[in-house]
Amino acid sequence: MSAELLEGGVRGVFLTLDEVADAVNTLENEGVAADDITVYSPIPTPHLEDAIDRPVSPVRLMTLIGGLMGTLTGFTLTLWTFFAWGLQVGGKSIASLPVTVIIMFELTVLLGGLFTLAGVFIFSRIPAMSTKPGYHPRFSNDLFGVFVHTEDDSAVQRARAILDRVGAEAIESVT
Amino acid sequence: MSESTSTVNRRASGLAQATVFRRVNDDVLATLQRPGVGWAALMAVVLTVLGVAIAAWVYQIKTGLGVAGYVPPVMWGVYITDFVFWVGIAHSGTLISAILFLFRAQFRTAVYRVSETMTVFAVMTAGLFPLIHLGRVWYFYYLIPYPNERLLWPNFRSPLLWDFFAISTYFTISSLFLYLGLIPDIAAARDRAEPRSFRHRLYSLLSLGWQGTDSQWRHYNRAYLFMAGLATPLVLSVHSVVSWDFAMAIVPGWHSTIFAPYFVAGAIFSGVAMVITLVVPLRKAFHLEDYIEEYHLNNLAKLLLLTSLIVFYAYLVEFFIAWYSGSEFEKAIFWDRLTGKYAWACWIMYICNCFIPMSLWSKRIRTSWFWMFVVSIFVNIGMWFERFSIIIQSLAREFMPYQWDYYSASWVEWSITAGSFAWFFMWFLLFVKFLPSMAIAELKELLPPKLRHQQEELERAS
Repeated sequence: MSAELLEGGVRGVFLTLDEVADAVNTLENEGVAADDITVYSPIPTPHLEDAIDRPVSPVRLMTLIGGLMGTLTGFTLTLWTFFAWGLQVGGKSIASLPVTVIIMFELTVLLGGLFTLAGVFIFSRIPAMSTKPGYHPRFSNDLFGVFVHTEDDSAVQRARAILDRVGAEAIESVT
Repeated sequence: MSESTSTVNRRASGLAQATVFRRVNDDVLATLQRPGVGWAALMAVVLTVLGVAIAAWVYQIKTGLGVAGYVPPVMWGVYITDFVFWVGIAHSGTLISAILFLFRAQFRTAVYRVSETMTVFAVMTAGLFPLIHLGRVWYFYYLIPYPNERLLWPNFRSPLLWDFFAISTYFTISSLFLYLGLIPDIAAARDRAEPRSFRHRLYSLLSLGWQGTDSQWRHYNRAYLFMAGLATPLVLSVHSVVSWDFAMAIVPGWHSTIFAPYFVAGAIFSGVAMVITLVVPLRKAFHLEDYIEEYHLNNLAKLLLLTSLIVFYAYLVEFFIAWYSGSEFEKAIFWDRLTGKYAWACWIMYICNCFIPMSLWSKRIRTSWFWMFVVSIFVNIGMWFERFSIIIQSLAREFMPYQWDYYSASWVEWSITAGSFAWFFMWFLLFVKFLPSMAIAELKELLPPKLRHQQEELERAS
């Protein structure tokens, strides 16, 4: 979703998934930019992801960065503390690598998880103080929505016509 | 596998005929209605027991750890038993939510929210016991890895410090995983609540402005998958690390390489039992019969039976290794376990964990709500006594006979133990009234995709 998205536009309400997919594909075929279309769904269904082609989420990079940072932190923290007070016991080496592995593993998971959640927050733009005007409370219940972000009159009319053609149950202009 | 898949499909289409998405919201969010008399009565009991436990703890802090029943050499008693028991209970929550998610085991959907919450509350309960056991609770910060005034760091070679890392990581990741799954469902609760009411404000805050856009779901799905991937090895590691608290010591009955897998299996066993203990009354109280069916119970029962067999095997291997090792101390400790002063605890453990679960070979028992509830209670009791036996009997019969003594828990310890159950159930009772106890969005995913021709059929039928 681009940063400059307009809050006004046209909202089409749909009952079924295939209608939503039809609507998105038709809108895109008729020249509406993919970034100007927001789909609202009550479920995280793969059918919808297949229907509307979007790039893979960058959250995975956050997981990787967090995980690697955790591994590195665990490794350096344990080794550094061993040498910070280098007490040798029974002729054993000062640094104990098996111990390092346990702390490295725990911190990999911990920071990987924290970064993953941070990724969802950053890329999904949450927390948000309120829902956007294009949202309707029934989109968390039983309805799907397709919202076209535009404030240009002719684009609004065109979007309304397309949404009507693909079978939207209701079409509303949102300002 | 094909049989269970077809069962899922049959169930899903059955549910689709009877309901649409709206009914899932209606039924699950109905659990959040104003609490009834039964809920209030349970809460009153729970708070009373918790009050007694808090009073006992205050008494212990004021008087000293001497009010617990410790007698040298038994300096780990019921508090550590409780700690290991509650960490174990916490275990299967992440198993059900993360591992079964990765394996695409669909029966998890109806029960995973309960098991995840159980995990978080059980870790919150377990985390209290190291503090209680410390006696001087204000020195807890010694465990946190930072240097003291002489620039000495905590000893990373100590299993107790591994435990600190393992438990705190487990608590953090389980809580995040639970919250991530809850966000879309809290948004559904927000959209249902009366505008400007307390609940609306609460859910608006907790749902973080979630709207279920394609972009949000895309990031959410990825994050959920990765969180499940991260949590999966954690399930295996946490109780392994807890087991090393014991196995790293040379105490007979503890110093064994089998401890990690043995503890992990035992933890999953007790956790699944607790899920059943919670789900059976929840289903009845909130009329969730359409969502939690015999199919789910049967699968949980099979998981219980499998882990019971693994635990049974581990018990037998312990005896074999004690004999095969040739160590007189190992042989003596296991013989004493069966016949000594703590034999009663040991036999409770065998009966509850090995023999009673054998009834689960019968499908009639596996699909009986009443009997499964009864079996789950026995398993909970048996698993508590497993930890009691391992910890206390091994310490009470260490190497030197002149050291041997008999530990029995004091009223302070029993009060705090009862209070831990009250603490756990207090959070659970609050949870079922304030947050959706089933995953709304994922339940809808189980339904066949909502397609145009199906919608037309539904409209014709109605």
